[in-house]
Amino acid sequence: MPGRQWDPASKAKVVLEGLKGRSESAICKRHRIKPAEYRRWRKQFLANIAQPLEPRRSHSPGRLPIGMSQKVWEESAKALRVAQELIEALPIPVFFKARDGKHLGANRAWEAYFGVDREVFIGKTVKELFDGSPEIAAKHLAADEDLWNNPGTRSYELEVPVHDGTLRHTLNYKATFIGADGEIAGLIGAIVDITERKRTEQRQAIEHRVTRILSESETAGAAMPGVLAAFCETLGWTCGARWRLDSKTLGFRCEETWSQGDPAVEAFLADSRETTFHPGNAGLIRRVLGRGEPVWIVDVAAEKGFLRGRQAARAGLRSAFAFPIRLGEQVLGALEFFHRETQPPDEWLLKTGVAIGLQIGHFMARTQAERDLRQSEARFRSLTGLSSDWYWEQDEELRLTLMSSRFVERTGIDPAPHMGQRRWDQAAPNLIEADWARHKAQLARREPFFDFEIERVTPDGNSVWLSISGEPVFEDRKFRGYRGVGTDVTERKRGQAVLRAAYDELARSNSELQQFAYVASHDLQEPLRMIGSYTQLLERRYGDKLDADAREFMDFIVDGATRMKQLIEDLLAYSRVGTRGKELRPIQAQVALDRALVNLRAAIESSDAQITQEALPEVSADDTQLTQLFQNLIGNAIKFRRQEEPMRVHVGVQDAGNEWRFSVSDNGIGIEPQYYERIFMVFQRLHTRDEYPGTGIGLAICKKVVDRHRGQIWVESAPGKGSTFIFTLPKIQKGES
Amino acid sequence: MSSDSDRTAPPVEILLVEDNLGDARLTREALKEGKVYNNLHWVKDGVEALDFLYMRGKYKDAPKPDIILLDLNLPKKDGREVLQEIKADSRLMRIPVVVLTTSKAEEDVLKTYTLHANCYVTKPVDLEQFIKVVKSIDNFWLTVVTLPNGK
Repeated sequence: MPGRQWDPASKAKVVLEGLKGRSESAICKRHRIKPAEYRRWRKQFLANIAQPLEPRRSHSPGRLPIGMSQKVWEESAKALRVAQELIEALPIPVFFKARDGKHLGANRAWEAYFGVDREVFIGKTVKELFDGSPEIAAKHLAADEDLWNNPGTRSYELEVPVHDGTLRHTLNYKATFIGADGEIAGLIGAIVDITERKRTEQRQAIEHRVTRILSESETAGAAMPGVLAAFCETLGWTCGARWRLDSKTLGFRCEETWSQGDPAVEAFLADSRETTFHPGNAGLIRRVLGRGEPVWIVDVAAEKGFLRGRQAARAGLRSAFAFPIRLGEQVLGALEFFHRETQPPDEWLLKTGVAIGLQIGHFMARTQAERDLRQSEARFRSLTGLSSDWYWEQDEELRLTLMSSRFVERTGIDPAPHMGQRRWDQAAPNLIEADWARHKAQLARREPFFDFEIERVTPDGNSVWLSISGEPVFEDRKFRGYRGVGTDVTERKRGQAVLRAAYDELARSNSELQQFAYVASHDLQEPLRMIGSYTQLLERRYGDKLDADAREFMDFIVDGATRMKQLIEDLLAYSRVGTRGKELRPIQAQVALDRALVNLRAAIESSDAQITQEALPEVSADDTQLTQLFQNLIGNAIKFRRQEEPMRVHVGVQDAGNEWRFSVSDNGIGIEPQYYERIFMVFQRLHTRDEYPGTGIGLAICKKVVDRHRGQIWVESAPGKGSTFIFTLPKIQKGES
Repeated sequence: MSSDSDRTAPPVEILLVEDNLGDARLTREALKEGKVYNNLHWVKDGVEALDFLYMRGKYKDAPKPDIILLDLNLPKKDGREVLQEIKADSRLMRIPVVVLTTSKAEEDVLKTYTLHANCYVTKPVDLEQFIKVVKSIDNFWLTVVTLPNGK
C-alpha cells in the first residue's frame, strides 16, 4: 500500500497528539506510520519549538537547527504556528518551559487563569514566579526534577492562588519533549482546575461520613462528636460544637464538642458547655438561631457583640462559622466551627453546612419519632401483657386478621376458626338479627363501639360472654378496618344472673310478706272480732242469767281477743317500718321530737314528767319514723318511771364524727345488763302486763327504724337509777340537702 | 228532740254492704241500741250493692239510701271498686259512705288509692266499742241531715 503524502502541518499535528499524551504505538497504528518515522517527526518538531515560541517570519540559515534544511525549517515554523494556534484555542491553561527551567510560553487561558501576562512569565523560573509561596515552588520543582530524570508524563495536584487571589485546586499535567539532538529539550504543562471536583469530593466525603455516623447512632448526642470531627478533619478546622434547643427552657445549650485536643481550645469549649443562649441578633449562635441561617465570622475577636468570640480569640482561634440544624422552618439547634487561621467567607462551605444541618434535623426528628414509637410500643406491650383484655384487628372487609394470645388464654376458645371471618359469621345465641343489623350499621358508619356483648359457645358447650370495644382505623383518610379490645365477662354475667335471681326471690318474698301482713291484719282479726263481740253480746243480753264464774270466764275470752288484736296490730306496725317507710330526707330532728311530745302530751301531763333537751341538728331521716322513735323511747321512759322520784327525761345529742349520737336518758327503774340485747327483740318483755302494759314491740320497732337509717341503737343503764337509750344517725353528706 | 218525734220522722235508709254474717248481725244489734229510727238494707257483695243503688233486678223498688256502710273485703266486686263507682256517679256521689275497715293499716292502704270516703271506721273487737262506733255513725248522720244540702 503506497504511503500517504505527509505535509509538515499534518506531521506537526501527529506529533502534538503524542505531546498531549497519546502513546507512540497508538499514534503509529492510527496514522499507519512506522515508529521510526514518528520519532523522526517528533524530533524535528521539538527541535523547532525549543526555539523561542514567537513565530518568526524568517530565519537566518545560520541559525537553522543542525541537519535541518531551510525548507524543513520553514515547514517547522509553519507547524509551530499551527501548534501555537491550536494551543491558544485550548480552553485550559497550557505552558512550555525549557530544560533550564525557564518558561518559554503559555496560552491565553493560562494568562487569564493566573492573571499574569505571558511577557512577564516567559523567561522566568518557577522559583522566581512563586517567590512568595516556597511550598508551591518546591512542589513544582520536585515534579520537574523527577521529569528531567525520568522523562515521560507526570500529573500532580496542587492548591495555588489564582487571578482573584483565591486558592484553587489544580491538577498539573506535564510531559517532556525531546530536542533535535535527541536530548530532553523541555516540558509542556497543562493545568486543569479541579476545585469544584475537589469540593464535591469533600462535600461528599463529609456527607458520607455524617450519613454513616448518623446511621450508626441511636441518638443525636451520640452522633455529634463524629459529625463535628467529620467537618474539622475533612476541612482542617480546629474545633466544633453542637447546640441544642432545650424544649423546657427554650434556651440553647452546648451539648457536644470536638477538638484536636489543644488545652486552650478545650478550656474554651468547656466554658461554652456551661452557656445557654436564647435567639438574638448578635454573636454567632444567637444569630444562627434567631435567623435560622448560617453565619460566617472572619475574625472572632473583631466581631461586635460576640463576647464568646473574645474567649475564642484568647484560645488562639480566629475564624468561625455556624449553621442551623433545622427541621423545615423549626430550628432545633446549630453546629459551629472555629479555625486557627483567618478564613475568608466560604459560600460553598456554608451551603454544605446547611445541607448537613437539614440532614441532622431529619435524623433528630426520626430518632425522636423512633424513641416515641419504642416508648409507645413498650407501653402497648405492658398494657397487653398486664391487662386481662385481648387485642384484635379487622381488615377493610371487617374480617378478623389479628387476635392476641390473651383471647384463648381467657376464653379457652381457639381463635383459628374466627380468623378471616366476620363477627356475625359465628353463632352468638344472645344476639338476634336486629341486634346484628344495628351493629353492622354502626360499623358501616365507621363509628367506634363500646361494650358490645357477644355470647359464644365453646366446643364443649359452655357459654362464654365477650364484651368487645373497637374503633375504626384510617390511614391517609382511607378506611383500613377496625381494631380494639375484648374482655371476658362470663363471670360478671353469671354474677349478674345470680344477683338477678336473688333479687327477684327477695322481691317475691318481700311481696309475700306484705301480702301476709295484710292478710294477718284483716283475716285474723275478723274471727277475733266475732269471738270478742259475741261474747260481750252474750254477757250484755244474758249476763243476769249467768253466775259470776261464767261472767269472769267471758271476761277472759274478751281480754284474750283484745290482746290478740293488739299483738296483730303491733306486728303489723313492726313489719311496716321496712315496707312502708318513706324516703330519707334532710329534716330538723327538733320537728320530729316536737311531734312526739305532742303525741305523748297526755302521758307527760299525767306523769308530771319534766323533759329537757339540747339543740338538735338536721338529719337525713323518715320524719314519721323519727317521730315514732322519739315517741317510743320517751314513752318508755315515762312508762318505766319510779314513783318515788319526780320524773325526768333528757334528750341529748353528741357530734361523733361522721354521725350524730342521740340519747334519751331517764331516772326510771333501769334495766339489768343481761337484758340489754333482749329488750330490742320482738315481743320480749321484762315485766308482766299487770305491772306495765304493752306487747313488747316498742323497742323492736325503734331498732328497726334505726337500722333502716343506717344507725345503731343500744342502752346504758343502772338498775334503780335510770336508763339512757342511745342511737346514732349518719350526718348529712354534702350535696344531700 | 224526743224519741217519739224520731219515730214519726221517716226512717233513715241504711245500706250495709257486708259479706260477714257475724258483722252484719252485730251492726244490726248495735243499731237497735242507737237513737236513729232506721231501715237496714243488707247486701252481701259489691255487685249486689251496685244493683241496689241502681235499683236493678230484685232491687228495682229499693229506696235510695241515706248512708252506706261499706266493708272493703267483698266477694265479686270489692269495696274499693264499689266506692270508686259511687264517687264517679253524680247521682250517688253525695251519699255519705262510711268505710268499715278491719285495721288501721287497711285504712292507710285505702287512702293511697285517693278514694274519698266520708269516714273510716275500724271495726273493734270489743262490743262496747262497736256500739260506740255505730252510735258515732248515728251522730254523724244527725250532723249530716242538719246540713242544708245534706241530700
